[in-house]
Amino acid sequence: MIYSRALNEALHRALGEDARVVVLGEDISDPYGGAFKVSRGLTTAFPDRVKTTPVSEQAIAGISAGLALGGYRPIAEVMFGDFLSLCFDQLLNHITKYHAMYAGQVTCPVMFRAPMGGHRGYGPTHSQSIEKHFLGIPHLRVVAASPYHEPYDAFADFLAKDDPVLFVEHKLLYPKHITAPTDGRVGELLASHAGSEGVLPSVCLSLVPREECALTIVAYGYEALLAASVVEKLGMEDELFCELVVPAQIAPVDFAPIDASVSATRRLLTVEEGTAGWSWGDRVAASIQRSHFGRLAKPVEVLASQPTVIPGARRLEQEMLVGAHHIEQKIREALS
Amino acid sequence: MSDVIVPTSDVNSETGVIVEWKFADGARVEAGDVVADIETSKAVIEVPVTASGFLLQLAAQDAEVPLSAPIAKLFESTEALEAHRAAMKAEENAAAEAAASAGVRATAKAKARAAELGVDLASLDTSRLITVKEVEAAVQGAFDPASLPAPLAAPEDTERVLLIGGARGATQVIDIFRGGTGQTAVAIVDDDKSKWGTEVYGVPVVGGSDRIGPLFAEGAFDAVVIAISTSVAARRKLRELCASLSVPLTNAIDKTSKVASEVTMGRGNVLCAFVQIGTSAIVGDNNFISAYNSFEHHNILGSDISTGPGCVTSSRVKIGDRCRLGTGIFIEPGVELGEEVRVASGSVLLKSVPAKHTVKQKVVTTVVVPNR
Amino acid sequence: MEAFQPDPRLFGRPADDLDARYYRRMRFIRRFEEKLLQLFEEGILAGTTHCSIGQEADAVAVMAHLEPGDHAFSNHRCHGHYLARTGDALGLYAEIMGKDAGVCRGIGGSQHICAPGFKSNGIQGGIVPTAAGIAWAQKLSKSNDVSVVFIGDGTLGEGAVYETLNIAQLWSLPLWIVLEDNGWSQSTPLAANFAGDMRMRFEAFGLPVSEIESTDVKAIDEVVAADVARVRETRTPHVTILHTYRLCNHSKSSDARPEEEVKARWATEPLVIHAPRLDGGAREAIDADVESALDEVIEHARALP
Repeated sequence: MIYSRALNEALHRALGEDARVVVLGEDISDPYGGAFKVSRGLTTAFPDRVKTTPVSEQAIAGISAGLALGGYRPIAEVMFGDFLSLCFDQLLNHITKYHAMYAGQVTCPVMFRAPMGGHRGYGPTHSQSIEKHFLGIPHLRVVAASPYHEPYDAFADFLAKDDPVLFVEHKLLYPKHITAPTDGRVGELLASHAGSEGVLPSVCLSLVPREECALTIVAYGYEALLAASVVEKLGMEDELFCELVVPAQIAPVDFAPIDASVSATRRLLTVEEGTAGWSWGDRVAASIQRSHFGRLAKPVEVLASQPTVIPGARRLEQEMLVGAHHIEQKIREALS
Repeated sequence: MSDVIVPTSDVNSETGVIVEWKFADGARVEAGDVVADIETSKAVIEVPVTASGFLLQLAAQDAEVPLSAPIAKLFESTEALEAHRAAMKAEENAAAEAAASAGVRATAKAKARAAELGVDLASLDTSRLITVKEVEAAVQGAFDPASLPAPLAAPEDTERVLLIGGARGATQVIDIFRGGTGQTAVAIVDDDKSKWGTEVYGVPVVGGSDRIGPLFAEGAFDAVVIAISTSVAARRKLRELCASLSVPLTNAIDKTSKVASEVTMGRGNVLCAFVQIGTSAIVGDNNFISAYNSFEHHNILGSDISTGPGCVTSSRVKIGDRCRLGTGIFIEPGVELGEEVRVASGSVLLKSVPAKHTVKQKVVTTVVVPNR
Repeated sequence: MEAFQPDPRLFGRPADDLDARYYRRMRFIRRFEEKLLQLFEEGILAGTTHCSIGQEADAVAVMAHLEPGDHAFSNHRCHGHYLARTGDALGLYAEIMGKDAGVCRGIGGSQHICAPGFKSNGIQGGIVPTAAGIAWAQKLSKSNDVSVVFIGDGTLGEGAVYETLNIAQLWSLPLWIVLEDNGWSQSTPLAANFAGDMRMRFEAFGLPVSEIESTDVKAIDEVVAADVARVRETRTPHVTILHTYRLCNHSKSSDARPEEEVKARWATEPLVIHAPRLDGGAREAIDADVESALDEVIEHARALP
């Protein structure tokens, strides 16, 4: 099933199984069903608990906060992840504060769903992956959609815990089929789940057993899909074998699966679509270089998009955003 | 026949998913009918037909299809449609057959190597991705004893020697024999399968160490020299293997060496060119002594020792079992080295070294610069 | 956990008449904050605090009409609202002193207070959509409860307010916005901050507005009683504008308002207006109650770890 439809079904299921779930966002009413059609059918099936909102991101975020404080489990759709900047005050000064600021008297479990990402020519303000600005917020978990994780698992995780979640969905995943590991495989790749207790598991992918891999790659979202294609290509063509670790939760980082892989490969490359500098990969690199100090064959490499505006022109965008060709080049460098 | 194309302005989506076929496969459709809904990442697109005819679906409902290719074809008659369907089916079958034979997963390099070595990939472990390593291992594993070369024949009056180890140490030992020791290397065994069937100075590598016993039983050789120069652990292990097989070791002593009178020497020692063993010295078994070594009178050497060239001892020196000396070492009178002592090149030993210790040496490095 | 029982010396007894109860509660808030400012001057408190001296009538009148299930969201100037809602002097003193016994264990401090049916946050504007979300939760739960949010004239500069006004009216949320217009946004007078008409800003969204310029707790009481009843019954939003005046500084340090203006307002502060309704003996007895009770609370709070 393609990702957007699985996501839609997951929302139907969450609303159907848990009366606390409320969904709100811009243009989500039927028949339109949201800019990316992910919310289709929800207002028809659950008219009381699903509301289309005016173009008012601060209010969407703030009302979600109030709903959560009032015992509900709001899932707010932010039409383009770029617009999360308009929700930032609520996220930083309200939603993620209440539980700790009030010494545990309340919880404020809000989930934001945010379509991120470029490669579609939407230009500077509708193509970004701005999750890095939210990664360091205490008490906020950031989870990234991936082709290897069922979307309902992220909702179940949100509903089972009491903290706020930013769920980052790369737009290019919507039309892709979900390929969660089955029988230890994803296509040609060996696949396994790994991770610490209580954290959404990471998916580890490689052509050959980890012990035969010379490089660990850690990537999430759509970049994980690109990285997997490169891992397969370089392995099949040139016998350059890498293990790809795809986390679902990207903040706080569950280092256990990355640690285990790097212990075998002694090399790490991080890949993300967000812009370079103060990035997710920088954080992962810092930790891995500390925990594997003296045992790495090479310094950790961080691959991120160029620190500038995302151009509207596709040919410029292809150079600016991390693509498969950038990943391939980095892997070749790391293994040279 | 005509193609049914998705009328899209959504240049950003490369693929879409067929949400619904509005007409069954093979159904009659009229120009202007919407035959399918296609979902791209941003919209659902209706696909109308511009002509009338019989519809041949090229993809199933829920399938992801490239937006640039036709999703269906229209035919003027059912017969034309079925003929095309049959042709497509035949093509599919051929492709499926090809895919089945290609069901073996192997890297491009492994496929090339397999072709080179004549290995059938399907005969390997297909549960994993086959790499060059697996292909080569398969070749090495494929030798059956009958296909391995036989030991050489040798003149009646010489000692027929089996060398263990087919690397550079073997060339040294063969060279010693060529100097006229009355010995002939008739075969080599080595556990590195990639060496099997190859030759060292015309002496065939006839298999692994598992052939020592059978070949000796066949009477293919008289004694063994272990031709591994540096690994004292390997020398010991192989010496013990030979002992367990009751296969005797023999010495290989270069004609230019001088072994003094009253020397007691064991078996399996290799003495390269210009080695001097002083009088009354005692030499154990299975030592590999490189060129220009000089062990002065009343030295006592243990077994399984390995030395580099140019090691010189004074009198009454003792060297324990499995000691490993580098190149150019001087040892003062009466110094004793315990078992498994390792000594770095260029050392000058003035006092004894206890067992299992290493003598390190600060090497004065030489700087190399380009000519000006 | 047992419900908190306020000290009758600070909060009054069920049998008290309304005049006495209102006087006692305003006196309680006034003296709580005056003593708080003294504690700052003694140097035993850190950070800052925003007192509501002069605005006590708003807090007391509004809170008198809330039910236990209702929710009040306050702002940086929250002491009066909190005390009028809960009567919990020790919890707030201890909180501001940073003690573990504080209502938020010393983490929230002066501006970030939480108790059942009450919250405050020092971020202007952002609390308004949050209160609207609580109102929606109340509506979804099909309760009779209302969600009240306190804002100031300065908060009208925040865009989140208007996003929320639109949605609250659009979705018919039981949200009650109480706007305390004290004429000054920190150090900036309304005239320098505010264009147009205050009432019309709400009416433009179709929200009904009540408005009163008074520091008389009884006059305010009459207005807010009707307003909260309307929200409770109709499950629709309502705005109450209370034009009032702040006699203390915005926070600890001087906010440079004209001295004469502040001085003139002391003549019409809530206690001065309301006190004559009590006879002198009763008033002195209440003053003595509040004084002794607060001194005990402060002594207790100071001794806490």
